[in-house]
Amino acid sequence: MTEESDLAKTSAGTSPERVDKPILQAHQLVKEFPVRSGLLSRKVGRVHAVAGVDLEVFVGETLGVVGESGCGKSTLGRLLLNLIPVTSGTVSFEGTEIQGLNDRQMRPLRKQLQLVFQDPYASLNPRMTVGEALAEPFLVHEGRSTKDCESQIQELLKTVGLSPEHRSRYPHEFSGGQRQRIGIARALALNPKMIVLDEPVSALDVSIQAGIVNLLRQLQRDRELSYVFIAHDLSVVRHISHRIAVMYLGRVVETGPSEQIYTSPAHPYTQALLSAIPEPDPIRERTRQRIILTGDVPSPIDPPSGCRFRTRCWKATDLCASTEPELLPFDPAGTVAGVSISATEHTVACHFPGL
Amino acid sequence: MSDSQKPHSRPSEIPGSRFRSEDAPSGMSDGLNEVLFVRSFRQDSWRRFSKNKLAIFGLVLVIFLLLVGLIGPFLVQDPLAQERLIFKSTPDAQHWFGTDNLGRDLFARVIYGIRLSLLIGCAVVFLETTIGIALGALAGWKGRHTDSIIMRIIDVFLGIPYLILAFAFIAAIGEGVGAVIITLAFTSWLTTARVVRAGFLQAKQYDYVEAARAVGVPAPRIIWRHILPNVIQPIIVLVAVGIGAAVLAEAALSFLGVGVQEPTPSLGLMISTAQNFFSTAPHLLIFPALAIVLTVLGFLLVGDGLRDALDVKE
Amino acid sequence: MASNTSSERLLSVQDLHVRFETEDGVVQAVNGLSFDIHRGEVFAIVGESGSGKSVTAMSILGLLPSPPAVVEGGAILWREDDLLSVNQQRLRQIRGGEIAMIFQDPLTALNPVHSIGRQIGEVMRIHRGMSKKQARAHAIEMLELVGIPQAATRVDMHPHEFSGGMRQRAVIAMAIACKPDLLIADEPTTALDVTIQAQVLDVLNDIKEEIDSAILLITHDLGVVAGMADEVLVMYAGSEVERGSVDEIFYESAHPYTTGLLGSLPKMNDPDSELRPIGGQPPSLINLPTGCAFHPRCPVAQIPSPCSEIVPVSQKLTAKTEAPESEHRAACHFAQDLVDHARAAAL
Repeated sequence: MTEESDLAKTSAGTSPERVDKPILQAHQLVKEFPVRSGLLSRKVGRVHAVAGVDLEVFVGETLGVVGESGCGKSTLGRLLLNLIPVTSGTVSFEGTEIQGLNDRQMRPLRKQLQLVFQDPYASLNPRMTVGEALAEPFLVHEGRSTKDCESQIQELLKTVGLSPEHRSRYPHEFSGGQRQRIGIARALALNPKMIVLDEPVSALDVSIQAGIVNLLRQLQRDRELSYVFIAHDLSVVRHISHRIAVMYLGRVVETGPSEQIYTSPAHPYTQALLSAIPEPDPIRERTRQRIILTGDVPSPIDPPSGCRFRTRCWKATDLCASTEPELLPFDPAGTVAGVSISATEHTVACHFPGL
Repeated sequence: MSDSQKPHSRPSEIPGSRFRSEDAPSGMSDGLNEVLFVRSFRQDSWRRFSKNKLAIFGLVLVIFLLLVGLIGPFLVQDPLAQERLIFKSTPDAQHWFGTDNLGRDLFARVIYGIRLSLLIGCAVVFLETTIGIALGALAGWKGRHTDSIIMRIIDVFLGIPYLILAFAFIAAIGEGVGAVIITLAFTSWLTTARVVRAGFLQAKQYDYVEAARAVGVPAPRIIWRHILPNVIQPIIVLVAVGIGAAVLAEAALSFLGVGVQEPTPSLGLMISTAQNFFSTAPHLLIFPALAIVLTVLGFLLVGDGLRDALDVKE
Repeated sequence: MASNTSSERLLSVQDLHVRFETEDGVVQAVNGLSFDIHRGEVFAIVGESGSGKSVTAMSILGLLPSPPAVVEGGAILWREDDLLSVNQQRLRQIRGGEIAMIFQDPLTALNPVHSIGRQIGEVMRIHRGMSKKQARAHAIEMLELVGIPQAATRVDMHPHEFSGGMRQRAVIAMAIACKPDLLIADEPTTALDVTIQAQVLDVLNDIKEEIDSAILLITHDLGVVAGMADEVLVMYAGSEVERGSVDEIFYESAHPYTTGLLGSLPKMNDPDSELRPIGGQPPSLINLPTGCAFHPRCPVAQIPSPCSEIVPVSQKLTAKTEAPESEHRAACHFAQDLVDHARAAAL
């Protein structure tokens, strides 16, 4: 573990492309949930939801976080926003450590750090009009009433492609896509610098998804927003992300620029994940070979020793069971240089990386 | 109290409550539910309520009784004035319900009794709901130790038979209308608190509550604007049913002699006195008893209708 | 459909209409849908929320709650029987025995209090009159067929002891236990993770050969359709908009909705292409647009006439010389132009 923290330290300063510091930085993030059972709610175990994650997000960049259910990606998103307390590790936003701050201390930072939810039906209060929902951030942070921020609300609705007249309606009068736009408008209200998007399009119909993805890209270009885009859908993630982190059972198994992750995935799990996506192209579907993983994701209460993916991996050896692989730079040529490690470099946590 | 909770009709028996739009094509992955469920919740609830004939009957009854309680006392005779020679008389033009054993006009006494019952019912439910929401919200929002302590207190209270609890309270704070109100309120907030707590535990998980936190909304406002309005439906039901229950409980306490004291006209007290003369003057018992039955029935029917209309699951 | 004339026609849905009578008005869920399914083929119905695809699937087995659902007009012919008028006894025989269904959510499709083996075995005991012992042995065989390891021990486990992917496979095992002639799979992989989805699709492809049945695949996922289907029917707002072989639908789309759907998907091999969403919102099924239901969102619509005035009839398109027997149809006033254009572009 300590080696990894050294690695993260070096990576922050020596990035060749990025002279600026990352806007958001997570270091050795761990989140464990107690499993309670019995009459006295005794702790009988722990869910290792996030188990030592390092990541950085730079200004104007989208970091895609990809993984299947139970990999800890949504928990990670909430840890990055300090919506749930960390078990250990640090999260810094613009150089300030935010873990452990209470709601009051977080309030000024909430303007900068926002969240968009997966389910557009559940994320809006059914008893508040759209106008009231959008006025709330202004009320809380600037003490302005719904009337005072009328023009901002209208502006917000226009920004996300809705009509200003929609402000007096209730959420149930909107379709899923429109509600997701309202959720985005709420996140944008206070001009944040960074938004965590937790599966923002997975609940939507395909024809609607594209519009939301385009809106998010547009907003990023216009406002220099940074995104953490959490998803299980790799094709959408690729479309919006500059860099991607692939998660498996609470750990990042591979990171790198999205082009490299997609064209030359080095971790067997990433390879399997990519090969499993069904493509809307019958001829390609008929010809290509799939890597079909055996079994299911193991329980995060009792994760496998060593490499967490080894139970489903076709490359696994005894080494994988005994030693946990570190996230190291991956060089497709096969030589592990490891001299200048940059944050944008392709790294992989596997004893036998490669195609 | 347990008596008051018996006459619940099953929702499926009530005509018109069966074909609700949201339970129609459930389990369909096609999103038809979204298409169907497009009206506002309030309109929808009112329409379901208005289609429920029993509930409308209950509502008419409740409104009528409220009018009786508000206006009635100004129109009737003095409930304490005694006719010197007419005891236990049967109904006639001057005394519509006859007179009681002390020669007082029974009609006036029943009207005043209804007013007192409603007054006690409303006061009890107001107190009960306030205490219940406050403690339930505290337990549900804070969780952990606060929750455990409040819930254990509730468990202990629920473990004691209701009447014994009420007797203990009366013994401690004395008799009379005020004592009855406090006794009933302090023994009936338990259900409200449990319902509120359960609602809070659930609502805390909702995305929109988390969304409010993510925007930086302070806790009191989250509780007030985001959680309470969404757990209020079962409470509305409990309020309606609770008034009926309190009316019945007041009658029971007064009947047993530990509630409202003579000469205050209380329905329970009237029944208690009248039972001695039942063979000679049954109307002395029947009229107040009928008043209690109608009052309780009205509120229970409204409560039941609300339960179906607001789709409260128990 | 000459390619299919050799194989037996199993199901024929003819002019199916389904509406829901609700307090808000009449929801027109399916408006005059017709299609045939032949033995051995995978027939996919594709559409988004509210397109009526699941309602169609449920109406085949008479699973729609009535009220509020009203199935009116048309026929659903299963071999010689019309499923809309067949008696209860025969319907029970068909359900689970000749036509089986795989639901989207494996958790609700399995009874939590009975073991997996018992639930699979129950189907066999009802439809094939097997003994308990025979049924259990058969259940193990079925679990092996869908690729569940250690089937002999897993057969006695309860659903909660299975992971999501295994549960869906158990549901498939239950559905194929009686070797049904038609398997209706309603969004069989939507609730699953990608790697598990790949496993389940693999199992579905394998058993299709194994039990020699037809599969009616209901899905919104065009990737799944591309990988599995032979014939595709695209639905929008309760009606067929396009129908054809999988290659015709994907490479020579004749309906602007199909084209729009494909254009809104991110392409894995061309990540930088801008996504082209379909504008507007899905229509209200209570108050459908006049003329073509898609015209308010359609990029090529000519308004008012014909698109907002005349309901387009699904018309057969001129076949290509290589495939003269093609049954490619589309319900668009400009379908022929669009398909010609697509062909010209492909050259």
